[in-house]
Amino acid sequence: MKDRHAREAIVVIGGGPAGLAAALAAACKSRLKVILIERDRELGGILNQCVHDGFGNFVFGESLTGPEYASRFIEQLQSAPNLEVWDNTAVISLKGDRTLTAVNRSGIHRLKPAAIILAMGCRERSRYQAFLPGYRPAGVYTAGTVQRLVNMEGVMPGEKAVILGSGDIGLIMARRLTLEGAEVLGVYEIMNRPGGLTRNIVQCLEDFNIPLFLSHQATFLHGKKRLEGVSIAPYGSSGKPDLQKEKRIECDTLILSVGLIPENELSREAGIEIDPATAGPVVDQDMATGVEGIFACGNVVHVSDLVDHVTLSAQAAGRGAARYLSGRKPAGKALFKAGTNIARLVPQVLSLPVEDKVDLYIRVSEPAEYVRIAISSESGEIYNKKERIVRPPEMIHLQLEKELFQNTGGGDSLFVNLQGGEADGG
Amino acid sequence: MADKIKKRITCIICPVGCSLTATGIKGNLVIEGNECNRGEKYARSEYTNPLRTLTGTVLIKEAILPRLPVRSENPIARQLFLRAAAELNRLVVTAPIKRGAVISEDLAGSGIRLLATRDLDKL
Ligand SMILES: Cc1cc2nc3c(=O)[nH]c(=O)nc-3n(C[C@H](O)[C@H](O)[C@H](O)COP(=O)(O)OP(=O)(O)OC[C@H]3O[C@@H](n4cnc5c(N)ncnc54)[C@H](O)[C@@H]3O)c2cc1C
Ligand code: SF4
Repeated sequence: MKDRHAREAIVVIGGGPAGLAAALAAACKSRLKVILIERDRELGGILNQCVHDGFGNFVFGESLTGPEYASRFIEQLQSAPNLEVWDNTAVISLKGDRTLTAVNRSGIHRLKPAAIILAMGCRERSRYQAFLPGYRPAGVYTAGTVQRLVNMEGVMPGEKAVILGSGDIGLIMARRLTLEGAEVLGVYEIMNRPGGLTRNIVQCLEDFNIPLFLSHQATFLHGKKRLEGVSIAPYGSSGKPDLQKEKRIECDTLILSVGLIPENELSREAGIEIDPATAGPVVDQDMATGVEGIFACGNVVHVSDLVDHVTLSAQAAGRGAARYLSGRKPAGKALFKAGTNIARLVPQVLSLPVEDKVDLYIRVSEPAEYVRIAISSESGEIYNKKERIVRPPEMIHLQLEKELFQNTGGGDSLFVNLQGGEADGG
Repeated sequence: MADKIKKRITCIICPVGCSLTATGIKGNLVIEGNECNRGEKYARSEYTNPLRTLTGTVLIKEAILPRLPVRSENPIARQLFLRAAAELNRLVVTAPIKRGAVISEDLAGSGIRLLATRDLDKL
């Protein structure tokens, strides 16, 4: 029988790269038992369906595929004797006093661990689908669903595909489907700039002559049973689709790649404060949420385009949980605040005193060139860094020395601003 | 003129993403639009022989999943991609397979091996 109370354990919810790295770091830094709970039949999370390479340049110094990246961590599990994996187990409830309910084939388990690390990842935005005018035929998928179907289940979704949205997963799937023999007719993006990384635009679209249309919107889905086509129009100057230029594209598959949202039902139930900008928990540099003993890391905190950033945040969470259990409590808190041209940042809270380097992750709202990223307290600037170019799809990662915060006091605000620079508009 | 071939190349070495043009004139290659030397080097290799790692899946029998993810051990010429992908579609393996197992010794005549990227146990 599994330990029902687990008062002396650290529980990690979610076995993707975030959960794996957090569980390993916690098991290494603490002598308590660490229980890693995953609802799927195997560990690895989203990485299992990301068969392409490009993972791990920063953490491992080589370009790995998703499954290879996951296996680097899964292999280390054996060397952590205090780490236990519960797969095929879903956490269905979490309370603010850290009581959690998990279900699996052997029944319902109630645990109240000493610390919890949330690593539930994110899911794909699908709300956009609801606003598409037209019929509701079969053949409309999110990009991640297509990724799972093609790469894991061996099912091709269709033969002629149109992709809506230029997020990375959609770009990756444009290449995958082409190599699998389907025809990808084009990628249509509502914004005036691509949503994905330049590398993916080049290697997934340009390499295969797949056209990318910016400032375009779907105006109608055709076909009553199976999708038969989609009408598309460019955005006019009025901010509405220019229906004079509307065209119909014959296709049997429409793939939506319109972004990810952190999966935070459990966090909300536990009363954890959610940052509206990131759609994830408000955390400090140890990835501690506002609810005592609950930590969070990876895509559940904010959507990362690089899995290496997920791993770093997870290692911080694992160390943070171990440190919390050793009895250390912050003496005060300062806040990082997003200023000019900063869409969101993590961590939002700086716990004092600062004992290690602080990893700060920033996403800008608009692309800009020749900028300065500056951090200022009320009494003046404490840090600045020049950047040649910044773009919304590429998260900025700053490693800040602890000495920078020598004079930071409890209750202080630290404003992060992007200064100077020419917005390049496109 | 046939001996003057111009290609537009987006540099992906750093986030600036310069738009480069590479023009081959009688065996000489002129690169323009790069902000730094790394772009020049990148454009040269992209112009002459762009290399990419091929990833995909092959059919696997008697495993919990029907597809086994695979990769080329090293990058192969981009021109070989469609041929290599067609080759992947003809390959069939049987579980169990270990990560790193050699699925093909020579992918599409590139001389590069095709490797499994995960373990898949027998059902
Ligand atoms: C469809 C898709 C494709 C992506 N493709 C790429 C890509 O190509 N390249 C890239 O760099 N990034 C990609 N990402 C981003 C990628 O998610 C992150 O890089 C990374 O995988 C995030 O790790 P994670 O551990 O935070 O989340 P995940 O990998 O999503 O792992 C979360 C895990 O938690 C489990 N879980 C969730 N809730 C519960 C619960 N209540 N109980 C038990 N278990 C639970 C899930 O089953 C899952 O295994 C993709 C994301 C998605 C959604
Ligand atoms: S040419 Fe230099 S500056 Fe321009 S994208 Fe390439 S590496 Fe960056």
